[in-house]
Amino acid sequence: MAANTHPPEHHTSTGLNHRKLLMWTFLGSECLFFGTLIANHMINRNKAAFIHDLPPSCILDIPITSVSTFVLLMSSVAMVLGVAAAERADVKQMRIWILATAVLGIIFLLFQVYEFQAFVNEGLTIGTNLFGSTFFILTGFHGAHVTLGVIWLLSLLVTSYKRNDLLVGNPLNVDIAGLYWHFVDIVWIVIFTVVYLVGAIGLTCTEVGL
Amino acid sequence: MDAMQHDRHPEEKPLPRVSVYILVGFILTVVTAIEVWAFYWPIPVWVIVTSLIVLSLMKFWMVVAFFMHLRYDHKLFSTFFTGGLVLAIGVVLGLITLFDNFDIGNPPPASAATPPPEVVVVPAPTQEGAAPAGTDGPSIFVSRGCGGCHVVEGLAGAVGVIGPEMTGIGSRAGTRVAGLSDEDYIRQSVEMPEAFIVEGYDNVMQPLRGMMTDEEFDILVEYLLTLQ
Repeated sequence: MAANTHPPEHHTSTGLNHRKLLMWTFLGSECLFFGTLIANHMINRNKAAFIHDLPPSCILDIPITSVSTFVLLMSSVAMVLGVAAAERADVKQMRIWILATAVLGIIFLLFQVYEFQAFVNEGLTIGTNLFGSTFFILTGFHGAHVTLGVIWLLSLLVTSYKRNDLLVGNPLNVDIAGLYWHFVDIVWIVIFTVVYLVGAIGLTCTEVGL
Repeated sequence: MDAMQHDRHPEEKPLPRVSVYILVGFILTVVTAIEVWAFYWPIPVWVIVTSLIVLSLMKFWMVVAFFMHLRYDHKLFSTFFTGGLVLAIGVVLGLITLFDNFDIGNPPPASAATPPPEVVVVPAPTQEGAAPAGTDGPSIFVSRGCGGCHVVEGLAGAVGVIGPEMTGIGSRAGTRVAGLSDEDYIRQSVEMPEAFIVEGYDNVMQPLRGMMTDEEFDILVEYLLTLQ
């Protein structure tokens, strides 16, 4: 089989790869998608009914979420190393880093499962109040993006064993997956700051009620 | 070798070395650690909120510029992404201006946190109905409407969050107003809800005393006193 069955598209009107341009356009539209969900949460979280006499943001677990944020950040580092290995046509390194990225993504998702479970046990569900609805919609959609990214990365891994020429001959296939993965990471950077840190700052989370 | 470098557009810069990626990853980790640290700092909230937003914008830019290597790529990629990003920021700021008056930092000591009075739904109690559901404390609590606004742990129907939780009220009531015993305080709170409003709540309680007989009222007060 020829090594380069899918050469990069050279003859486009822009001189640039259109799949990559499409990915950037898609990510631009994703900014709007997550932007509105984040705004929705910021607007409504302080209008929500209290849970056990406490403001709902008190339910947020900053230490645990800091750890999961670190995990996602490390996955982005692994991803960029995987892309760099693909550029060097270093198949072994590429597989290692792509696998590492996917595993770190799965660990992040497990943190999210733990968090959702803990919230539901404390009485906060998507139907409890405005905080619950906007929080679960926002972080749920982010988690769905991470899940899709993990599936994409694992499919790249399988491709590297079945049809490696698609990746070595065209590292853009790894690069575009990397763009998507990093975007999911920067969305979390914003969510962690705005929803968790800014949301929970200055709250007195001890019982004040009657 | 370097297939991707080879395919780059003439106007594009060569991609950074791996060591640059590692350095950026390290800086991002340190910035995140500073953010979490700042969160626990005893300095004014607006200072922390401002620094958090500045730091996270910096992280956002670093990932886009280096990990997504946008600063090395053709300008057209930046244009397409920035277009969406600028629109998104406009939408976010617009929505917040319309609905929230930039009250993003915090929180709702009293009025903002409590739902507006129009959502107060009190299950219509009927005086004529003469306690059909039973005459014990918990039944009165639910059938006379208290449960619409107050939680009692373990009591079905006592699920409202508009008023303070009643679980354990028997051990707290006497501490609310100087000179009032547990029982006096509870009686006053039902007969004249406006006499003392617990911090964080609004004066929205309905005059439910008139919905029950004196005997039922006594049973209700006795029941509340048993909640420890």
